[in-house]
Amino acid sequence: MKRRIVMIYVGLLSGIVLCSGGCGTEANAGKDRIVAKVLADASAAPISEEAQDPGEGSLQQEEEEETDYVNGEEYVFPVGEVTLRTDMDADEAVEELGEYKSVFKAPSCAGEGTSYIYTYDSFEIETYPTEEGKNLIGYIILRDDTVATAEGIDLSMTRSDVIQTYGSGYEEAQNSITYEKNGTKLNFIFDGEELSSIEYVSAVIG
Amino acid sequence: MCREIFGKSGSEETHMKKRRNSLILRALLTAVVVAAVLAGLQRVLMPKYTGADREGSMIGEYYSQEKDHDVIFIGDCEVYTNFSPAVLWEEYGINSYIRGSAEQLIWQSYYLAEETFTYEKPKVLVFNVLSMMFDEPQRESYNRMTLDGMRWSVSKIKCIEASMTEEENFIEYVFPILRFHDRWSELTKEDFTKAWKKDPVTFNGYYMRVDILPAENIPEERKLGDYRFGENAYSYLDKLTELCREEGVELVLIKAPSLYPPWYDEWDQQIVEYAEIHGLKYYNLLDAAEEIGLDYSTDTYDAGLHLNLSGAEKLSRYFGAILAEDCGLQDRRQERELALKWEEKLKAYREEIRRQKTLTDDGADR
Repeated sequence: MKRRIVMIYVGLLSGIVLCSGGCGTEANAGKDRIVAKVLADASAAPISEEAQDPGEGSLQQEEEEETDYVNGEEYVFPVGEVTLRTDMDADEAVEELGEYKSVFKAPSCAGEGTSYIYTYDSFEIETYPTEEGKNLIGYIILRDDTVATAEGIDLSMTRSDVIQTYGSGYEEAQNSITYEKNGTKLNFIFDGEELSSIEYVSAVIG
Repeated sequence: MCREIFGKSGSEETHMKKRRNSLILRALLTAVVVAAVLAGLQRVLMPKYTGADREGSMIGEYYSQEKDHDVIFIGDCEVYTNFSPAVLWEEYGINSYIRGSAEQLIWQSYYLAEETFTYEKPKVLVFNVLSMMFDEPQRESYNRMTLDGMRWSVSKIKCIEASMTEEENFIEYVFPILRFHDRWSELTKEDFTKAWKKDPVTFNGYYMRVDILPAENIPEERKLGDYRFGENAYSYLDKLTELCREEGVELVLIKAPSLYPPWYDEWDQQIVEYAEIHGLKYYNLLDAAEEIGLDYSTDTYDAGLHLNLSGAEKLSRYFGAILAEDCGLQDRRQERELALKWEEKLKAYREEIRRQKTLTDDGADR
């Protein structure tokens, strides 16, 4: 009987240990999703969707491709020689973009990395950390009319210009409309009829 | 053979009964031992929240306190880094505690208030309104930092239900081992030494930082498509207002003077209106930064997100006067027993200031 009890204990503990090892991958995958969502900024209102492969949108790969911004599969922001998109590697993008005006760091209260806000002359990039220690782009915000979306919309334009260019397939909030294409979001915010902000938003965090 | 045909003898029946009882007893004993082993493993495997994520330890520290507070603060990091109960005691004789946690959402604040009132009835409940910006559950990592520290109660159960994201399961809060079993490969010595007992990380809920990182390059505010607070957030603010009214506790709304994330004028106006309609006091301490004497080049440890010790002490002096004058809180420094307890707490508080200053002077991290 004693032997049977010992066998039960050993069996249970082995089960736990095996489960720890065997379930680890799945559990970690779940945790990755959670951490990928952590703190694009303290003010973000994330939506729960799976993180994209961080390597998917690398600049190197971008250079090799023939760029077709307008008919592309995602919303992208071309700036000079660089093409930015949300959820791409932010460190690589920052290196390619060259000197920024300023950077602001917002560390996570949950001890899960830091988000960075890089300010350039006409736009801003906000990053979010992943568990693997990478920083991905969470937001790209266009700040003045010297830069435009790949489809040619800039801040000097109006609501009707936007709808004429992007069509009627948008989601509407109080003062904004949002277009979504393959997990990338393009958000237009208005002050009356005038455009007041253009944002590329990661579907992972917001 | 005959026995099989004609039944068992009396002594054999007794023997069988004993054997059955013995089996049941052994099964029960086995179940108890297995449960104890699993409980022990769970303790070891759960995050200890004593490193960079120490904010996860805050909620649990409340339970070991004497429950005789005049003021309870609830809310996110803007309460636990920005207010020092030690200063409120030293300068105004106000006995306070901060039940703050990282990104504490308003439904979590509500259930924490509900739970707190089962232990004590403070005269004032101070709620930081930044969390009104969130209308739905956010992130598991932050949920855990509030929920894992709560003792089991109806409030905790409701709080879990209100907080869970789609990826989370209630059962993983009941048995955290199901969530954290994969930590086995990253266990450290600390996971064993701090499994049952760990040192407090706060001083009456205040998270102290003496280091300085001047506020600069604060990003321009992101424009929003909709500045209205969500229905869910408002419903919990209503519930909090009602709960305090029922319990005879004065609810005071504040916006702490953190520079980031932004606090929009449109948000402020909604809180001003809410406070007027419901007869509540609301203090926008961000607008009062100059009057408080805050200098964001010296009074913050992370460039304006949170105040450091110097900033928190300035703010506490300012807010202590409000609590004493506007809320009529009495000076309790003459209460001998309470004063003795605070003497001990102040000693530990000053020791920690010395310790952190030495580390800062040496250029080390906190």
